[in-house]
Amino acid sequence: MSYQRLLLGLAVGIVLLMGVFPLLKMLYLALASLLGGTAILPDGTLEAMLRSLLLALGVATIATISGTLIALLLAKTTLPFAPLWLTLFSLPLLLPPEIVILGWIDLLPSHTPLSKLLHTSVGAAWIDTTIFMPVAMLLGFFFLRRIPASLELAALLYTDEKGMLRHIDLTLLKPVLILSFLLIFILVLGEYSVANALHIRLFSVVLFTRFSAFYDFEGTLVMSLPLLLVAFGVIMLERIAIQHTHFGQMHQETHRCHIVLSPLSKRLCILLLAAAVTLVTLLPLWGILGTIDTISQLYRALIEVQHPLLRSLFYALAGGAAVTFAGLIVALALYLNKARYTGLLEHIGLFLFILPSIIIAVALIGFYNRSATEWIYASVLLILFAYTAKYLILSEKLIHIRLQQLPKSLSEAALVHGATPLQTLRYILLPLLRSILIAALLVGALFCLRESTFAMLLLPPGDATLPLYLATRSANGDAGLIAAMAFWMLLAISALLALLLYVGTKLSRRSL
Amino acid sequence: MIAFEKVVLGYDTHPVLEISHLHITSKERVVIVGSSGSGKSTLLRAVAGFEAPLEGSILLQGTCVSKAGSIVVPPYRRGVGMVFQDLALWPHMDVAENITFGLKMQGIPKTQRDTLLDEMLNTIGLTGYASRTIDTLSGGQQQRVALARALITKPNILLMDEPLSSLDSQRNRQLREEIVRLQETFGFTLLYVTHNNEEAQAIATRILTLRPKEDGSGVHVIEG
Repeated sequence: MSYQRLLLGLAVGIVLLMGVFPLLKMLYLALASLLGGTAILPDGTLEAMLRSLLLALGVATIATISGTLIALLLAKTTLPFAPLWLTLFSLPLLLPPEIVILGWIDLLPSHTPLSKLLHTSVGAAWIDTTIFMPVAMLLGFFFLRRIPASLELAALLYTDEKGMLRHIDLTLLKPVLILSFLLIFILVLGEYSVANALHIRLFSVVLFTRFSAFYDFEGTLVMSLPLLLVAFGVIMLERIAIQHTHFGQMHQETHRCHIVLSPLSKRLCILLLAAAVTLVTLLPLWGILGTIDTISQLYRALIEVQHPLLRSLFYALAGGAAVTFAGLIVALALYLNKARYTGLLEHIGLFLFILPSIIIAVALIGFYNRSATEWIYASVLLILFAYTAKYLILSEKLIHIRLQQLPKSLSEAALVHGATPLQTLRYILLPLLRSILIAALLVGALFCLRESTFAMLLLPPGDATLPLYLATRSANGDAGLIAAMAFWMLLAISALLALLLYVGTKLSRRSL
Repeated sequence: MIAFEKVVLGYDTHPVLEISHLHITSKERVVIVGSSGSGKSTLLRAVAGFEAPLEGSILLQGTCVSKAGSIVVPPYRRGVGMVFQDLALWPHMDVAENITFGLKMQGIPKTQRDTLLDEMLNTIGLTGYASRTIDTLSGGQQQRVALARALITKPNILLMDEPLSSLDSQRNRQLREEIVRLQETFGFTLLYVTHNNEEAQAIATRILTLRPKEDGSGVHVIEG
């Protein structure tokens, strides 16, 4: 068997064992249970489902519009410090939701109208918008940056800059807008931590409670069906949207077309962006930092959270490594095997990414909780499988894009000079991928760090990660001490993020 | 040395170039000219082993290396050298590592590699450049490194895919003279692709032209 086929086999194996087989078994059990009379939406859950759908629709709409506007400003104008703005706006997406919520709760004094509003669907919608708006912003930004300048310059021969933005950039961006909307919609629909912390009865909370509080495995499976169906629908719509993105024509250009802002407009835009960053990112951070009363609290908090913090970092880095390894295998398999069906692996990866974490967790429990696979079920492997299933697409995309940027002749030159395909992989491709592998590891680690559903359902009791520990302690603890604990989490995330930015800057300066 | 027997080359199932019979003998300098899309690079890639012919077979030194739809001998077992159009110098390796890569793959010990490297750097006029990174070299120096990398393993056949296309006319003239000198020194068979007739005349002992077939199918055939 050639090593290309071997890699493809490995990639298919990863996707099947960590995602497809557990989901298929879950689907089978759910359908059997449904036919056996288990209600798909038991009493009261229809209302929760409708509330969830409404919330997801609202958040997806607002987050897509606001994210795209920010993306347009940063990608298409001469506004300075675009990477800094992007990072600041992206922070709520990278932080564990428990920390974001804690920040808002700390910021708004209890029993005030704003605090009361926070604990309603409006509050949940606001926090979800700040968390998921970066999805639309980042997708929009990177797509807009890839529009060849020549397309825009050609338009400028016939229209002004506004016309160019409208007829060229926004028209090309339309499928990305649809994609952003769909992604945010399904991510909000499956979001559990925000609704749970704010005590809002959304569908994800009902589902989670049914599994974790009532141990109703069958009921949970059946209730998961609507979410599975919606996720599948989103993937189908995404296929249609992506087909029209003209990604093939897009490429990285050294010369980009920027709209030159007048000094006044520039100042105004910076002011607007600063206000928006304050509103979505800095205020909750201030909420946490401002609640810490004394330096000694920080020390006491560190002593108390050292184990959950180290555990969080361990699982995050182990998860990041697993996600990167799997992403590398799948990306190489797709890169080396040109067969059209291999793209299916990416669609499955995206499907798993948008699937609510609780569904993946329940599916993995259902699949691996048997004597033959006890060694997986009862070990750290189970949560690593969950992380891999959920975040595989992120690392795979990063690595695959980098592979596609490398001229094919670099590998061919090695082959023609006597290197076997494996030696080509070892001496040429892997060294050239080193930076992106580190970036993928950090991105994976950041996402694993913020993921608390897997930690809740798949780790043994007493093995709580810091976000979970914080969520438990915040119910009955000194607010200053809890904020100090959150500070250490923020510090760990900032360190990972700073490393990621450093690697990202190094990568963007590379000629290749 | 190189033989094409009823070969059809192309992409997927779409034929681009037909070669009924072509024999290239040892130490020839064969230049292939033709318009864009005529299959010049495809021909070189087929000799290198990156593409399998749609029909027919390709023989190197009497051994069938490719036949319809399959690569019999993979590129790394063919013992050919190649200079790519974009040079394909590995950016994560310095000049020495780039040049000696083929020797390393052959399992030649480091001391011997270093000796051969010094000789080669001297031959191509880049003594003292061994530890330089690729991005610190000029275009002409990069061309020499690519040439050195292809020649250091002493291949019997050297394939060059428009290697001088990115150079100005003066550099182009200098380097093509150097290519002829190196071919005479090392005695390899040269298969060289260009769209520049002057370059072809300066290098070739035989010129092959790729022309469209008269049936209007868009398929090209070899003349010369």
